[in-house]
Amino acid sequence: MSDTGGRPLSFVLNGAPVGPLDVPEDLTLLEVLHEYLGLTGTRMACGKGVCRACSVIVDAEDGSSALRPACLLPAHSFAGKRVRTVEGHATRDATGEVSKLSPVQRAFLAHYSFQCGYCTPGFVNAATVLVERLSRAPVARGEVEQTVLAALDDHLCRCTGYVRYHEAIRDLILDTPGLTRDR
Amino acid sequence: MAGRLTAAGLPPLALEALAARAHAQGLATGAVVHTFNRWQWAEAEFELAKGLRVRLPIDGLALRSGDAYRVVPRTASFFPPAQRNGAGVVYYTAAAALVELAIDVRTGAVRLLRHHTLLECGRPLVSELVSGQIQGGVAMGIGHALYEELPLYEDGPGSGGWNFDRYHLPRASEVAVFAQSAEILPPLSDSDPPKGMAEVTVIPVVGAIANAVAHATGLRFRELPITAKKLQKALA
Repeated sequence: MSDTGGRPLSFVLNGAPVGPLDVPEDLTLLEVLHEYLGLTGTRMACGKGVCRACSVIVDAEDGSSALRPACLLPAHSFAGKRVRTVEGHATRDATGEVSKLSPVQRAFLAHYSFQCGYCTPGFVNAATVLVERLSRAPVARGEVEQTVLAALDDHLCRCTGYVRYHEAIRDLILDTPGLTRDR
Repeated sequence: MAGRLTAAGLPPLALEALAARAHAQGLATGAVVHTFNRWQWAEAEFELAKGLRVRLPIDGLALRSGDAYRVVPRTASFFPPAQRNGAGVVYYTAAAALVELAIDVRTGAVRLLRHHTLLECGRPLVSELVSGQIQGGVAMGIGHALYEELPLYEDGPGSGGWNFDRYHLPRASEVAVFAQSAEILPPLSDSDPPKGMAEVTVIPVVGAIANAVAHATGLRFRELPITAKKLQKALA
């Protein structure tokens, strides 16, 4: 690991408190998720915060949420924050098994949205943040496509050509009451 | 010399000069070939001129002289054994593409407005996967045509220092994600089998984009990708 020595790190992950963990200063959040917490759903790809496969959600006090590149940012920069990863979206039963997928996850599955799946956790997180944002601030129905494009455009995918990701989220938004307004 | 015909001490002959002479003397000025592959190219011998027999990895040849093409008969043919059909990948999906694009003459940036793919893949097995392959292939072809540059030599991607910050993969906004369509043509017959398609749609969209750029600007690019930088320079 590292010879810089660790210091305690605590944060909230998928609704449950984590830590304090003894985490070296130079570890990224992605390394802590993978190596300390056994959560491998967040993907390492470019390592430079460009492709967004590693995006996690950080929830702010005011109820808004933002995406952050876990491959790049130090784990300690998430101290005290509320973080969500792809493992946090589905409903789980008492034994911890997934009992129901989230609407975004179901939409992606129903639309055959992904192929190799490497970029999928980032798309799930970005689309979830978008859907939650629209539930607070609905968008005109005629602006849904450009809203989806703007929200997902930083996310890279080599396999799919993006169509099934974008159509899935467009249709989910149009079909979910409260996310759109007529004009 | 530098790819041109020359003789000691004389300036190299320009292609135009050679072509003019070929036309004037009634020599071959164009060729159309047919090829056949069964995990190996079929080969055939052709007599190009009296006493000049050549063996080429093609099974059909026509040469142009004046305004007319003339089929050159095979004098011998060498086909790979028919058992190699068992290898399977001999019945291919055919694909074609149409694109509509806009060019910013100031920056040289090409923006895809719409595209349409035609595919003949026999009887599709899983239509969602067929369309997924179409969409993914087209996006990759768009990258190949416009964005994804792999320069040779020391500072190229072989340097090990390359990543997505230098290698531009197309974004959703660059593949006309909501303005594309595809058409799967009906099977050729009731017994037409499903045909392998792989990523065939990578291919035709590249030519369609290069042709559209040529239609829009009169500029014919022979090397890909047609980046904004290259187009801007050519338009200047």
